[in-house]
Amino acid sequence: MPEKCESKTDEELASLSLKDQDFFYCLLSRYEDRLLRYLSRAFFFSREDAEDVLQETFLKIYKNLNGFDPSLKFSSWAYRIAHNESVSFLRKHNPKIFNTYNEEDLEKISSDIDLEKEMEKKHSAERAREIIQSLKENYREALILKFLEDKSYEEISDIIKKPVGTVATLISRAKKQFKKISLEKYGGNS
Amino acid sequence: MAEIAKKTLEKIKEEKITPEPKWKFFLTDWAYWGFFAFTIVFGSLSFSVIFFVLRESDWDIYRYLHHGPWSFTLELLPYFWIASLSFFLFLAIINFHHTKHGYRFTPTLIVGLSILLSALLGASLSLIKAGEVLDDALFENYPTYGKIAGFHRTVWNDPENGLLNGLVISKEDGTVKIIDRNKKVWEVNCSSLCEETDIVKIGVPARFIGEQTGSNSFSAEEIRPGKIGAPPLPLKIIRPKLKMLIN
Repeated sequence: MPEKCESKTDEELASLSLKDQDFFYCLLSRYEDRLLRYLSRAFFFSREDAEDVLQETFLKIYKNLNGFDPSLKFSSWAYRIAHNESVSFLRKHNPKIFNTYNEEDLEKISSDIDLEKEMEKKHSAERAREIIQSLKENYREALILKFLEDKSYEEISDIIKKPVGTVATLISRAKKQFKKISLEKYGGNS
Repeated sequence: MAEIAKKTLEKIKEEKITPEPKWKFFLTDWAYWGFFAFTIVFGSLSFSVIFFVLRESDWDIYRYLHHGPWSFTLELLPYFWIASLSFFLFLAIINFHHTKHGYRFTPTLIVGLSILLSALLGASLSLIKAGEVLDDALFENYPTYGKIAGFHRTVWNDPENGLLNGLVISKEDGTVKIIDRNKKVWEVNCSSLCEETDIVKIGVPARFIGEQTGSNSFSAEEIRPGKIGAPPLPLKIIRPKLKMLIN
């Protein structure tokens, strides 16, 4: 990444990208890993599918640079485009599910949802992996954005284009469903 | 090295991809606002006709039509305009949702806001009689409209059930002649009623409640004023008759 990029914010880079494509490269470099992780976690894409969706996302970001709304965080806008591209990819294709969650992610979700009290820690990661897979797609995405991507309610609202109140309801329902599936599948404490 | 970023940049250079121009985004956003405003105006016009029909309808004449008060009220409600209002509200909500920050508002808030805006604008349009003019124009030019949404007008053209309406063309010793919207001339016997009230005047529409006594004769028991242009006599019928009487 060129040194000239380091001190710049995402929003500044987005604006400079219109004049110099090197800045656009810096911007994409900042987001490549984050968005790849998000696509795999939220939509269960294989590495190849996630890369295809990500490249389409990057191209859309470039084409729409002039439409970037400066009242949003650049990251929210980039995640929104990735979200839209994923939904459209899922509609067109019927990709295989790749559950690539690592133990750290799963433990973080379990701990944030306060599930560890109800599960033995040694089994919690494996079980959380199965529960996440059986969650409805919008619930899963809301949990990922909140607990693994550390997004605020406002940012999630800007990403999935739903009111903040709806986001709060979605997360609360996702947590309830997570706990419900956990209780149904594994009982209260084993 | 960010591989996908690199590949994307190469593709952009190879295919000479350029960012969409700023005006395109500006135009799209304003188009949604424009459509939103357009649907609110049309919703307001529907509201304005609804206000007009509700205000001008005679809710008490169900007695003459062998109807119960509730079934008559249900028949008189302007369903066509209620459906039209709902349709435009639906479009308004969709357009608002697609504006730049429309998604931040809950559907309930958008529905409430759209109804409020349409109602306020509809009430303002009522003041300049927009609803009346629209209802009048549609009724006169599209017979199908009359069948679907003209009950508040046609209900007074029912002499068999004791309701008659028309423009007074002569008045003599307790008998008046009127011409109805089908251009049929009626002789209405109103005895002393016509003298006791100043409703019956030549060149002015009037509504009569009573009994049909012959193929073109009617006996009135009650007389109500018929407003010029108001249902059931539209302006298009009244204007030429008035001209004829004046000449």
